[in-house]
Amino acid sequence: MTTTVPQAPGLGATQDEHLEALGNYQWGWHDTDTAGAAAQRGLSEAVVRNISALKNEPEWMLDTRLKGLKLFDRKPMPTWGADLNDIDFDNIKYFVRSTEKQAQSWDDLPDDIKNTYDRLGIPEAEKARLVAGVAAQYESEVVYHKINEELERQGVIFLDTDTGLKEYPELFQEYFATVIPVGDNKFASLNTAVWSGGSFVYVPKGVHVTIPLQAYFRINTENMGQFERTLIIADEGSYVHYVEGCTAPIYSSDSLHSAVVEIIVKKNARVRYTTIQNWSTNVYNLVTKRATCEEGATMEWIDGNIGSKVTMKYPAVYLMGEHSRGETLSIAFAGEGQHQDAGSKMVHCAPYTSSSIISKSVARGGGRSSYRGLLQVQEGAHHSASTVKCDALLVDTVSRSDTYPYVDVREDDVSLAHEATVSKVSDDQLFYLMQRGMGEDEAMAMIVRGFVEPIARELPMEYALELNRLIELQMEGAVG
Amino acid sequence: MAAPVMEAVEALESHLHPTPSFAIDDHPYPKGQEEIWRFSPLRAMRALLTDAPSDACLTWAESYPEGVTTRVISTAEAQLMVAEAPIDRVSALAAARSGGAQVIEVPANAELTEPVSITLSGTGQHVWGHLVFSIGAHSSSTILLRHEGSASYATKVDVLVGDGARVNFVSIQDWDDDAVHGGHHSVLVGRDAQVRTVTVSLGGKVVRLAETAKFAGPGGSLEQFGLYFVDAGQHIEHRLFVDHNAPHTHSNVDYRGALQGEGARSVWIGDVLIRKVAENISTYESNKNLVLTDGCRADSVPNLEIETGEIEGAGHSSTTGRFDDEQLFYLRSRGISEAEARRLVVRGFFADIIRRIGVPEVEEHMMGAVERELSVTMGSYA
Amino acid sequence: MTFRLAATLDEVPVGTSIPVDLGGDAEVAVVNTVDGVFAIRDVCSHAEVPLTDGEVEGCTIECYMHGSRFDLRTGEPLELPATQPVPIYPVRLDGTDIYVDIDNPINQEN
Repeated sequence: MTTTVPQAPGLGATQDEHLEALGNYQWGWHDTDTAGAAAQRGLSEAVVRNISALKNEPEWMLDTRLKGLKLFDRKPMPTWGADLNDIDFDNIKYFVRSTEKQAQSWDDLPDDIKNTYDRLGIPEAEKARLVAGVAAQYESEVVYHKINEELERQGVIFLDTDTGLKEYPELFQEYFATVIPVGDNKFASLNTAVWSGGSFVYVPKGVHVTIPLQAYFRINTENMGQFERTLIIADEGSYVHYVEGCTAPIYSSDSLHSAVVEIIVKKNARVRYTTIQNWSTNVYNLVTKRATCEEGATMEWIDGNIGSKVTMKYPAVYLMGEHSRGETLSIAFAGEGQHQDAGSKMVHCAPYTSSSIISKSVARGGGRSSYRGLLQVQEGAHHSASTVKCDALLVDTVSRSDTYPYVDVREDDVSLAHEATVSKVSDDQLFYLMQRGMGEDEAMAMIVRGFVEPIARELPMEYALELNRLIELQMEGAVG
Repeated sequence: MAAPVMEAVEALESHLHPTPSFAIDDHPYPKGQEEIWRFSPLRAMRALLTDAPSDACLTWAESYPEGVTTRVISTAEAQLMVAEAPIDRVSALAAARSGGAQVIEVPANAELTEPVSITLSGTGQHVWGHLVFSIGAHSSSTILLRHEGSASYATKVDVLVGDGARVNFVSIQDWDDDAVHGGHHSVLVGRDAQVRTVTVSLGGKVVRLAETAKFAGPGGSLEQFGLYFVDAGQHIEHRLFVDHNAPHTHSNVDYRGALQGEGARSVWIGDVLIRKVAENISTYESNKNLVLTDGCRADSVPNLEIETGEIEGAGHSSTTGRFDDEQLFYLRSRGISEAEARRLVVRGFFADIIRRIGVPEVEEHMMGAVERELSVTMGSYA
Repeated sequence: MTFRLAATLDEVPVGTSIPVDLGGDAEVAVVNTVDGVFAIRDVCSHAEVPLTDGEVEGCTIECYMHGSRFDLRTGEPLELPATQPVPIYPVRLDGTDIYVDIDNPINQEN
């Protein structure tokens, strides 16, 4: 196995080295890969049966996995979005077991894993009690998991999904694959066949989790697909903010990340789900995320897409109960070689429902950012209202920006509006900032930060800061 | 040669647009899941998609101002006199099976004060049709193409607009309730030409028109207006594609529709592509739908694909809803009854489009038609 | 009530479905299950694809496109992304002949 060390292009570097460095993931690193080295590549019924057997799963889960495999094989690759031709399904490790038992405390973790998490800053976050609980996903299984004692007292369940299935089989079976069925799309089928890890969250009636639940997801094995499965159930009148952050080391060939996230927001409950996706630029990030809202419930997706080679992700809210509400705030940066195909879906199925989608995207260096969305009002969903606002910022002449919204209305007493604008950074703005002594890169980064500010301010503080740093990195060399 | 290289560089990386072609085999019979067919009533359109010969014609009533000439060209000749090759199976069959195309020519530098008026009417026949409008350079004209009666009509219409010409191309679909009309209207905008199209679709069981436009050179300006009023059981679909393939071009699209009655279905697709070469262009698309009763379905899809950052501006908007409550409130606060206020709001909504037709008696006729449509759900105007 | 001959039992083994054109605005899926023979409009209420392309599972038919299953007794979807029912029709068996009445869907209010 080779490791690639990020390297800043020095003065003496050759052109090849410059190019190499450009493709490097800024924050990538790579630990020894003892766990992943032995894992089998490729997908077959035997692989799926093996995963289920290793996890000691009930029969119904094995059947569900096998159905997922069958549907994955049957479904054609989507041709309507990003270019997925380079994914080599036979060259992916579908399951990697990192340690035999789940660690109970930080000290139990192997040193190399601890090292990885140190770089992510997890222990500091724990010490500061900034996070309510950290389910850190290392390779395919959660190896470290500690939940705040206070939450446990409140009856909040925050487990990795494998443990969730073991400890709460009835609750699990009642909701699993009801929001995103096994056959929803090719990649949801794949996830169902080989899922491993992810978070299982249950918030009891009336409980407000006041600090965000955080989970860090990482891929650490070359060509290893990561197929985490997250199931969040917010019972009546509860509130929870779940934060998913992704960073990944750099690899020499393509990786696949294909997650499924199902969220059930019960009557008058509210869930906020925040993602800042920063996969290394060789990862295919093909994710299905969907929530259902009962009466008076609110679902909020805050979705940032900065890394990955290709992202296809359209968090959805099905508004099933009266007066429920869905919101999506979405930002995407597409740099060189990247295609961010992101957006959101709002489906109004009940009267007096409301939704809003705000999307901001920036494309530079030949990258491509696409907004793809759906706004649907079904028959009977009278007095529904929705607004969609998409803004794209173009900073050069080689990048591409697309907007593919879809508005489908089957009810008369509604109010829907979709609006999109695409603009370039004005020379006046740049000139003004540069006159005040800023370099061009710096000025450009400031303009971009201003552009995404309405979304950045909705993020938890540490994420907002990280986002700002990422913007600066993204905008380096954007000018000229 | 530079041209083929440019074509290669500009090869479309988009699932939205099939490659235009005269070959019927390039447009297989749709299954229903194809991007361009997924909204369309394939069963009702079967006759337009089935390759079967028909010699039938629509009845022509035409009025040509002095200087305007017409002639018939062969199918082979028509393939060379084209704004764009057929974009779907219906128009490919229309071009191939129509037995040639009818060409209507407005001479260069002509200043027509009367419209070129063509009314096509049917009595239930199945017709393949191909029309070519050749608008001479630096001319000024209005073209009125009306469809009436009943027919199963597949059509290909090419509008070739010469450099510096000004043309107002009006197409009115005022069919009887059982007509099925599908096809492809394509416009080629000459250098510095100013083109306005107005498409009004009122009658027919199915009207499904692909309206595409591109530019033959820089400086062209394209305005496209549309109006549709969809009743119970009707399907009206307009699929627009503006291809900004030249710099310093401008486009503006404004389509407005109203729907009423069980099973009324409208589809509006507004694709805009801004190619790398199309620097310093501006474009805006707008689609507004008024849903007047339960049981209707309005689909609105304004797609925007941009391959260069050097543009003046690009945007689109889509709104769907019942009435503008503020407008209603304003009118009611002035003592106007609710029914009357609603009627006024809908009339105002469409009057903005109708006034673009530019032929007073047709504008009046269209306002009357809107009024009749409104009486279906809002009672007669008395 | 207009029951029309749609198929015979030997054309639809248990656990399968076939599309039949009975002249309505869409084809009808005749579905044979362990719980009997059912008829449902052959169009998914979500993405409008034929249900007969999907699998029959118990007393449900599953849309192959996005995985929603429909209860053949009620036409209701059992999971997302479909949210609306699909019309189902009365079925009458006469020997091995299957008759379907598409004019009187069972689960439509009007």
